[in-house]
Amino acid sequence: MTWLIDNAWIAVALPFILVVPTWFAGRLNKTLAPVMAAIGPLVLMAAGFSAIFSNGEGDPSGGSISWIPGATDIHAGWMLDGLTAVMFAVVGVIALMVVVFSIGYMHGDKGWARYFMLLSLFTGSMSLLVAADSILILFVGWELVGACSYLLIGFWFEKPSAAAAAVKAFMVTRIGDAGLLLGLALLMREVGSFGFTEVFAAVETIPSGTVTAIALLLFVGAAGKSAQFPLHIWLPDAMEGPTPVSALIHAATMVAAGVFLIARMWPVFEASETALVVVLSIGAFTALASASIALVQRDIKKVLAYSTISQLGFMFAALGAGAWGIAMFHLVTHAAFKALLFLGSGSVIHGSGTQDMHEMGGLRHSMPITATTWLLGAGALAGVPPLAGFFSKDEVLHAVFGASPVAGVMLAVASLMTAFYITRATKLTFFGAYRGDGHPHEGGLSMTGPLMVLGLGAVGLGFFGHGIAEVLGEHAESLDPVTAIVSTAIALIGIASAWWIYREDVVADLRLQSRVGRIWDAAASGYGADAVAERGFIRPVMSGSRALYERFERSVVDGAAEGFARAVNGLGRILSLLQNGDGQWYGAMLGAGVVIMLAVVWSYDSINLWAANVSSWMGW
Amino acid sequence: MSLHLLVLIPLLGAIVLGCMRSASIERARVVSLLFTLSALGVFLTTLGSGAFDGGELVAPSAALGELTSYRLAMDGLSAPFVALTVVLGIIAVLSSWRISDRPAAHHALLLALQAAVTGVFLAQDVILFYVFWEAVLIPMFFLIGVWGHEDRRHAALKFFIYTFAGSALMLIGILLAVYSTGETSMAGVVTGFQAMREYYANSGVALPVSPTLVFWLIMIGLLVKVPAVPVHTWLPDAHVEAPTAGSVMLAGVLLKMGGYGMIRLGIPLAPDVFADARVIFAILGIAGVVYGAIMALSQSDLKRLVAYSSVAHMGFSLIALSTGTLNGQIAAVLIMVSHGVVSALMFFLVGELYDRTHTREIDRFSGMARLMPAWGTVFTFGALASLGLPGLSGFPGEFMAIVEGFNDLGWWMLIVLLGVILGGAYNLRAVFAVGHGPAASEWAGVSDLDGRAILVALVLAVLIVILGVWPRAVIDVATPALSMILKGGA
Repeated sequence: MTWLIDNAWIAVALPFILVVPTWFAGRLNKTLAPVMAAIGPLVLMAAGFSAIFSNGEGDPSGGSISWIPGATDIHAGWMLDGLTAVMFAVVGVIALMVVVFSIGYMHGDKGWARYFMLLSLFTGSMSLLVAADSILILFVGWELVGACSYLLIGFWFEKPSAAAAAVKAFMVTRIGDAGLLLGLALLMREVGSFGFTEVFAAVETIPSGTVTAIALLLFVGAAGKSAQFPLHIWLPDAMEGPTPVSALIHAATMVAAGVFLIARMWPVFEASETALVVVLSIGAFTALASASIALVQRDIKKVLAYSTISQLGFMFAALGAGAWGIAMFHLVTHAAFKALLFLGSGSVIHGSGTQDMHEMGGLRHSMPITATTWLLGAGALAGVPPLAGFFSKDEVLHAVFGASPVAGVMLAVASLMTAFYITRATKLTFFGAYRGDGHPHEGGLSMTGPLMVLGLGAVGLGFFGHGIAEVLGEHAESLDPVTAIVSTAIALIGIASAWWIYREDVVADLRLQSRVGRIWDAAASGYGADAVAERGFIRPVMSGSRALYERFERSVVDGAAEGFARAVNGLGRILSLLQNGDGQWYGAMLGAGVVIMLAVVWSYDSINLWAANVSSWMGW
Repeated sequence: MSLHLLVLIPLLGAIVLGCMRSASIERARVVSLLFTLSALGVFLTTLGSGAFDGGELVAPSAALGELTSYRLAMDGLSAPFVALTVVLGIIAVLSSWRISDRPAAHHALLLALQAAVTGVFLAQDVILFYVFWEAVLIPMFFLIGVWGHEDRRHAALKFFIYTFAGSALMLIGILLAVYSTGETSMAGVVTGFQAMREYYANSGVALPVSPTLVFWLIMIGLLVKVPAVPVHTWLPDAHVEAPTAGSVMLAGVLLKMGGYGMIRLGIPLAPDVFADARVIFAILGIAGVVYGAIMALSQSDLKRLVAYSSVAHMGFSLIALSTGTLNGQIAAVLIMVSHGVVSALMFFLVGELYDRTHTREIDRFSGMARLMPAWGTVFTFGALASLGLPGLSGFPGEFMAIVEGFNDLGWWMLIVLLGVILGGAYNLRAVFAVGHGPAASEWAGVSDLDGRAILVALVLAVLIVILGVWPRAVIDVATPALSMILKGGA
């Protein structure tokens, strides 16, 4: 296993190499595709866990080659330190579970081969992201997982809503990525290298304002990827993708990449007080606002989507509070219980044929394994001791309270809402009487197996807080008794009140809707964020670009060229009254064109004078 | 000798096809394919034989009159562009596979075009360079004017006159440089021009010719070809009307003559003038990136959309060049090579779609990725390559351009980032509107890409991946030549 640690790049390269073979395998033989797609995650797990268990033996392994040589030699390289090892393990386990689950879930889909090919591509891209030894290679993986996300959200591209959601996801994250790109350019200018080691060594020499700019630009990228306000609007729509994909990409791994990015670039963020305050504020606000939206969703996947945005907000708040190790701990536990909840919802959707919780109810009778494992995941999310989420969320709360009591209160309220909305979802889905008109049934072992494995994670991972902190090289926090008691109380209050309010199931929804209709509708529509994006950006850009094309490009820019040609043509006809014929037409045009352009060029001195003025005005 | 063959083989092919005017479509295309394949063979042997070792490979020259001589050479700057030309030459022939209207003449013109463009990239004499440069126009003019679509005559004429007016200015600039140096070899003109200026500067006598004037005369010709905003409007018209092979060559190779000419001749001739004027190139580049992307976003014609994307990509290469650094020039070369391959793929796919549906109206398409799965897959791939996805060819060059541009222009690059975002928008809009959605009943039963088309797509896709994963395939070749040119040698 030491060999694999020393050559961990193979774990990154292998899924990429298997992308095309997986597709061919899927075309040849149905069962072969998932087998091929499982190889990458298995190797990733092997590399991750062996690195975790050999922690402390020698320096992190790594290697690099010259990728873009030039005046500055840009390298492409990998490294396997504690942080990468933890992410390898998370990505490997979740990806493997999702591949297995998909065998049942995607059964009979005509895009079978394409699906597993894309899963393989995603595994490779995600492991590239976490194993990068430079911010540039991280960015390469970052963009590739974004492309996989685009392709998988739009997997059922004949459905216009799925195709549109894919574009939306890509474009919103691309806005963040543009910021990240600029951050990279700024880093290059200040440090002269993209390598983490070089960057960290140089942080102290960079002026503090510039460090803040770099950190904020990186955070813009992180906010796009991890769906933080106001770049969160793509994630709820991303639920158009197949549910196992939502579990893998839009809950456990890719959306957490923003948290990983900040953890990875920690020395840069640590050096900027301002950046941390921004991260903390955005994180806490997103956690609270998004939790309140999750309260009123009817679509089971939308509840989980807003829950994910909210939980990512918790992680960012922890980062902003200076506790990156705790943020990573929450990332790990959240990966397990949220992937579990998503796969559970996939099992429910597969079994009942709907995503609307109003058409579910009582599913614990027909789907006992799904219901049991779901309860574990829901408990972990709500923060019921001693499930995984309890430990990690307590540490987040504790750290954030220490940094900013206001943010701490926001997160406490968000926790209360969390317990409430997940209890509501649980009650509406699995308890009460069945309200649909189908025959809900449990899926096969390929679907229930992963649920049980992830259930173990949701139960047990909380006890590994110390271990994870140790692997990350962070100081391990012990549980603060006051926070633990308060947060347990919050969780229990949330659960109890939801259980009581929803004692008559959907009736409560209708009653609340009639009583606080306006607030309910506002929350249900995500407080109108989509409408703002639509009216404020998309429509103006589209109609503006069309107007610019019609009124400027065609009539002014091209009109000038064409008009000029026509004028010369007319002039030519007057001058050559004795001659006619088409040859004259462009001869004259040509001559006059040359003359006019020459006239422009004869004022060449003024061109350079103007350039000099502009240069000084632009400040370079 | 092999360099001469690179020009002579396609030229010979053009003559042969010109003589077999009534040849059947099958015979014409096979003959044409054989000639382009042999050009590729010669190029690969040149690389493989070690005759070209990254330095300069000079072919035996022949004097043409007192000053000028037929002199060809290939260095690390020419090589990537020649490679692009010989590969896209084959792609162009395969794109014309179903041309049934006077096929022999069509293929003859394609081969003539390839010969002329190869000549541009190999010429080591400024007069020869100009002759090849103008020779390119003639086959292209007829390809658009005869085999084009509805409004082909107007577009052909516009293409011809617009770029010819530009090159006329370039000719004046070249002649001024030649007369003031008494040299016509590329290196001779460049070093002679510097020497001449030093001589006059030392002697205190006013210069007989302004270097600024010469610089701008040549640059305007090159900028029209790039094309830079606002002298770009010939391009969308030419593309929309051109047959597929014409578009492949136009976007893939012809546009690169502009950037190549800047690096080879325009900038080295008067580096100090260029240094003063860099801001103009930066502005033109930024304008191209943003304006090209906005124009692409607003199109209802799929081919015009792809055409405007060329304006945006070439804007990136102008930004890269405007930095005046080695990294900037490397980036510009990478961008041009990448765009050559990606735009060839996109125009090829648009052509395949047009052949089946006889329309380019985006609104009339829907769900084409379901009706033509292979087409849809490659089109999506091409769009991702075009928007600069890392791992594909567009990324290394445009990334370097952004980093170098930021070093130079600072926060003005925020405007370019707008172009980066819009670049995602127009590419994904194309996939969304044409490929996705419910399958259009109008096109039910349309055939997917055939074996030949899949082969073309596969070749281009593999090149896109190779250039994206291993940009050193170009960088390692181009860097020594570029740094030599930057240092003042030519």
